[in-house]
Amino acid sequence: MEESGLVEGRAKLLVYAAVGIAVVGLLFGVLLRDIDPLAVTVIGLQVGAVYSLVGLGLALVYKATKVLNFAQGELGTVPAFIFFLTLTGWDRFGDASDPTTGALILGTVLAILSGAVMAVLINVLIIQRLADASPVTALVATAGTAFALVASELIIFEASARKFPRYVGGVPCFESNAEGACINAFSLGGINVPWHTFIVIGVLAATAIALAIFFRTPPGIALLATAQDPFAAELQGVSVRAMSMLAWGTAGALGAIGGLLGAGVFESLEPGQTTSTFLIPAFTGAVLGGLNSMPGAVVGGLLLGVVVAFANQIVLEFGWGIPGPPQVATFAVLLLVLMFRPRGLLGKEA
Amino acid sequence: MQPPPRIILRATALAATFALVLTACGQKEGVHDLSIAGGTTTDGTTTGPAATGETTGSDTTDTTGDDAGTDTTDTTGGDDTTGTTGGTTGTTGGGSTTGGTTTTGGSTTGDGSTTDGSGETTGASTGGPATPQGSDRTGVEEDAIHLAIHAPVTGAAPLPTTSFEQARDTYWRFLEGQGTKVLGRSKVLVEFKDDKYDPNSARQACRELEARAFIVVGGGGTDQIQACGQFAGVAQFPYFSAGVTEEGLTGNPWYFASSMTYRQQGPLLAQYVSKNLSGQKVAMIVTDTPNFDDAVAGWEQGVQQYGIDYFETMKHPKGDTSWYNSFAKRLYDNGVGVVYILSSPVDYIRFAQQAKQQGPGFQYVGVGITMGLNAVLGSGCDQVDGGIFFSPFPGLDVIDQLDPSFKQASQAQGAPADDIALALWGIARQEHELFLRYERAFGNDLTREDFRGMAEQSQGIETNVFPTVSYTPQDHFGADAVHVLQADCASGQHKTLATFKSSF
Repeated sequence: MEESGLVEGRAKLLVYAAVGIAVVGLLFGVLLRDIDPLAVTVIGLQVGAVYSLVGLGLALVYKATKVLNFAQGELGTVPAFIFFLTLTGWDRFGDASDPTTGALILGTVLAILSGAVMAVLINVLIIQRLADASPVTALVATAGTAFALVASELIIFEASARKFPRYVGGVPCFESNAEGACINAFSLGGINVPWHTFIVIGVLAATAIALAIFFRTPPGIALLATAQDPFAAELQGVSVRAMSMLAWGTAGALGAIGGLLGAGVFESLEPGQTTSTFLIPAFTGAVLGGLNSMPGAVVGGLLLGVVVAFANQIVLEFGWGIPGPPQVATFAVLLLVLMFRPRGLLGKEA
Repeated sequence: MQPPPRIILRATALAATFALVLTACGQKEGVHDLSIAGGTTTDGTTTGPAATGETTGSDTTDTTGDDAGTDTTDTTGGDDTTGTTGGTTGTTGGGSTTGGTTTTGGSTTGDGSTTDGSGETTGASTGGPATPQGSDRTGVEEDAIHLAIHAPVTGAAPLPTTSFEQARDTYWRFLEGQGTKVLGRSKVLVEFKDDKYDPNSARQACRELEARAFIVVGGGGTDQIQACGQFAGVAQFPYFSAGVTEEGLTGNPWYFASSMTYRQQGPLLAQYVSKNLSGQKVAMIVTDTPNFDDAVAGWEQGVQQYGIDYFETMKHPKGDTSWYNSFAKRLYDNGVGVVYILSSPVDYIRFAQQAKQQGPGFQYVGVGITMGLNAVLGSGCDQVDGGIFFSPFPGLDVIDQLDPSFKQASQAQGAPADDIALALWGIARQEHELFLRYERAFGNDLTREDFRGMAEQSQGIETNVFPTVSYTPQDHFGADAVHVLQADCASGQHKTLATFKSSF
C-alpha cells in the first residue's frame, strides 16, 4: 500500500517535471529567444551554491532537533572573522589579501572548529533549556542570538568591510597576453567561471555526499531516530543530548564553511554578512528542496539561485519595471512550494 | 492704623495704568511695527521677523510683511542681495536705500511657512538685533547648543563608526579651544546616531534627535535623508544634508541641501563624461528606488544634451546580490566602457569585483556622498581603482590648501582626520556661518523658526570645504559646484582632480 503511494508520488513528480520542462522550453523557444539559458544558469549556480551550503546547516538542525536556526548565518560570519584574524596575525584591521598556504590551512581549521563550538554552545546554553518550549520560542531565541552576535561583531570589528581572500583567485586561464592579462579564460555561455566557483561547488558536492553517507552510519541513524521520536530513541540507549549536540556541531561546521566560501564570493567581509546576504535565500532554498532533506537543501539552493538569475535576466531583457525581481521570484517560489508541495521537492514526512 | 482712603487707592490704580501705558509707548522705536510685520501668527505657525534691512532707523518706507500672505517687495533696492546685507545698513540714517534687498517680510504663505526677511532685520529700527518671533528653542541652553547627526553605519553602507563618533564635534571643539563663542555660548554639543541604512530607523533616529537637538544633519544615504527630511517638514526642525534626491523634499521649508543634488549633478556629470571620457559607450546602473528617479532624469537629460553614446539605464534590485554578473555580461556584450553607478557602496564594490572577473572592468563615474569616501577603497581595491566621483567635499590631498585648520584641529584633539571627519567639519562650518548671520540678525536668542527663516534668505554661504550655497524661500537646493575625486588604490585615498567646478 505504502509502496504504491510512493510510486504515485514519484509519478506526480515526474509529471510536474515534464510540464515544467515543457513550459521552460516554450518560454525559451518563443518568448526569451534573446536570453542565453546556459549563461544565466551558470550565473545562478554561482550564487546558488552558497545558498545550498548555508541551507544544509539549516536543514540538518531542523531535521535533527526541529529548530529553525536563524543564527546559522552568524555561525558563518564569526568563523570567517576568525579566519581573517588568523591571516592577519590577530590584527582586526590588518591586511589579509596575500596569505600563506599554512595560514590558510590553520585559519580554515580554526574557523570550522569555532563554528562547531559556537553551535554546540548555543545548543547547550539556549536550545536545550527551551526543550519544553514551543518551536516559535526556540526560533525567536536563535534570532536573538543572531542579533547579539552581529552586535558583538560590530563592537569588535566595527562596521567597515574588509578585503577577504579566496583560496584560489582568478579564473582558469588558457592564454594570456604579454602583460599577463588573461585573454582566453574558461567560460560557460560567455560567463567566466572563477576558480572559487569550482571550489564552492566541489565542497558542496563533497559535503552532500558525506552527509548522505553519515545518515547511513550508526550515529547518523541514531540522529534520525532521535529526530523522529526522542523518547523511543532514549529507550534504545541513544543519548538525545549528545545527538542534539552532534547535529548542532555539524551544522556549525557547515555554517563556518558557508561563511568562508560566501565571503570569498565577494572577496569582502563585514559584520552580519552571511545573515544579511545569504540567510533568507538559503532558508527559501531549503524549504523549496524540503526542510528535512539534505539533498533537498542542496537542490533547493541551486534551483533558487537559477530561478533568481532568470528573474533578473528576464526583467532586464524586457525592460519591465518590476521592482526587485529576485525578491519577487524568491517569495513566489516559497509561496508556490507551500501551496502545492509543503514538504518541498525532496522532503519526506517525518 | 486706618486703611488708605478710597480716593488714594483709585489714584494709585490710575497712576499704575498710566505708567504701564507710558512704558508701552516708550518702547524701542520700530519694535511695535516689527512685531506687527514679522511676528504674526496666522495658522499656528509663528512666522519670523520681517523688517527689511535697508530700513534705516525711520522704518517708514519699506517695512514689509504687514499683510499676511503677500510678499511686499522693496521698491528702493537696486539689487537682489538679501539677508545680512541689508542688516548691516541699519544705522546709516533715515531713509537711506542701501541694502536694496528683495524682502518678503514676515508674510505667511498658505502652508504656514515663513518667507520672512530675517536676514535683514538688524537694519530695522535702531540697527540692533531684532527680537526673534519664534518660540521653539529645542536644544538651546544658556551656555550650550545641541546639534545632531545621523548616518548609516550598519546596514548595506558601512562606514567606519569611529570617525562619526570621534569627529562629530571636531569643529566645535576647535572653536571652543580658540575661545570663540557661538551665539554667546561656549559649547556646541553634537550627538550622533546610526540610522542603520534604513528609512524607518532613520525616521526613528531623527525623532529622538530632534527632541534634543536644535538642528539635525543627515550624513549620508538617500532614502534615509529623504525620510528624515520629510519628517523635519512635519515636526518642524531645521534639517541639513549634502544634496541627494529632490523627490519629496522640494518645497519642504525645513529641509536644506548643503551641496548639489543628484538631479543637479546629472547634467554636470554628463558634461564631464562627454569631455573627458569621449569615444566610449556609456551606461548607468542605478538602485531601483523612486528616490533616484530625479537623478536618472537629470543624467539622461545631460546625456541627450551632450550627445553621449549611450547604451541604457539599468535598474538593479535593492537588497539583492544576484544581479552583478547578469549586468556585467550585458554591459560587456554591448561594448560599454563607462558606467555611471548610483547605488550603495557595497553594491558598487561587489559589482566592480564581479565585473572584473568577467572582463577588463569598467571606468566608473558617479555622484554622491559615500562613493567618494576612502573607506570604499579598503575592500574595493583594485576593482574600483580609477573611479571618478563628484563629491561635496574635496579629497584630503588638497584640504591643507583649502582649510589648513581641519588637520591641525583634528591632530590637536586626537580626532580622526579622514574624509568622514572632513564632511562633518564642512557641514559644521556651514552651520557656524549661519549661526553668525543669525547672531547679526537676532542676537543670541536662538529659535528654530527664526533660524529657518534667516537660512532660506542666506546667500553665498562659503566654507572652503563644501561648495558655496545660496538659498531662497523657493529653492533650498542652492549649490552649483562640486569637487571631482578619483580613486587611487596605490595611496588608498581618493585624489582630487578638481575643486569647486560648475562646468567642464
